[in-house]
Amino acid sequence: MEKKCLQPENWVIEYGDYLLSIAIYKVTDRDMAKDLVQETFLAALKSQHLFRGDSNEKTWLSSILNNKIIDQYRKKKQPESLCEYLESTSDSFNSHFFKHAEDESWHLKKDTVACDWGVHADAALVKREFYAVMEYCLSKLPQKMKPVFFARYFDEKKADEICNDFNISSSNYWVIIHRSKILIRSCIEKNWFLSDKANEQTENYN
Amino acid sequence: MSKLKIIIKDCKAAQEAGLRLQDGEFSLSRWVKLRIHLVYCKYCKRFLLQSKLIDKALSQQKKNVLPLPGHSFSEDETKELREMITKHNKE
Repeated sequence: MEKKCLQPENWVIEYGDYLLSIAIYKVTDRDMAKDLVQETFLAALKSQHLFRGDSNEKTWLSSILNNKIIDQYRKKKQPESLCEYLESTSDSFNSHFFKHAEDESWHLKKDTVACDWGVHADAALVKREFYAVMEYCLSKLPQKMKPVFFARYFDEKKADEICNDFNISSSNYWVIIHRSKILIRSCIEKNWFLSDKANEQTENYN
Repeated sequence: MSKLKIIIKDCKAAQEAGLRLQDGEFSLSRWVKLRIHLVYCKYCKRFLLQSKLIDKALSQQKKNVLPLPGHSFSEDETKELREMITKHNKE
């Protein structure tokens, strides 16, 4: 396989906006995202000798950015840990979507149960406008849960690796994934499937 | 009540179990109890189907990460970054 060479002079033009988009997805704050991309380029310049050419520049720079995001997450003095956040928001989250039965089990609340998206729900996946809704729904995820959720679905990391990176327990990891899925599902339903957008003729992805 | 027994009657536990199974964390006991729950709970069944659709959409979204409005560097920022790279690359 042909080894690839680095071309730092092209990084900003070729990958700058892509890296910035990824960083904004994960940290929300644009200024913070911009700083992270800048740090990524500096770190990449310093470690050019470590680039073996097995992956492409984009993948290599993305992995450096991901490490920067994890480092920043660990370094940041959080007013409350992720664990405390999950505990402190547990009652409000659960009581919004579930009701507590007498036998201590949780059941879905009638007004928040999943609506039927119809047999053509898959058709949404080829519509550009659907991804604008997805983007909106992802941006609305609680800030504290985003890095973990994106590590799973954008970086495609395994659960144990994510737990290790973010120093969280497996049960907290699953609480984050479950809550995120509930929030995204509910947001997509409200903003796509229950809106007129789902039935409009829109431009498709090729 | 054990976590697995809870799955049979608890929607919150059933959904989480379903997500774990979808993620490849297989356990026969968890799978059986989830199946029992899904026999009578069409909403959790729907949730898990929709979760798979969301996974597909996220996978597509990842491939199509494009600079959206406000997600791209301005001309000044681009210039500044390029100068920074040129400077540090010479060092």
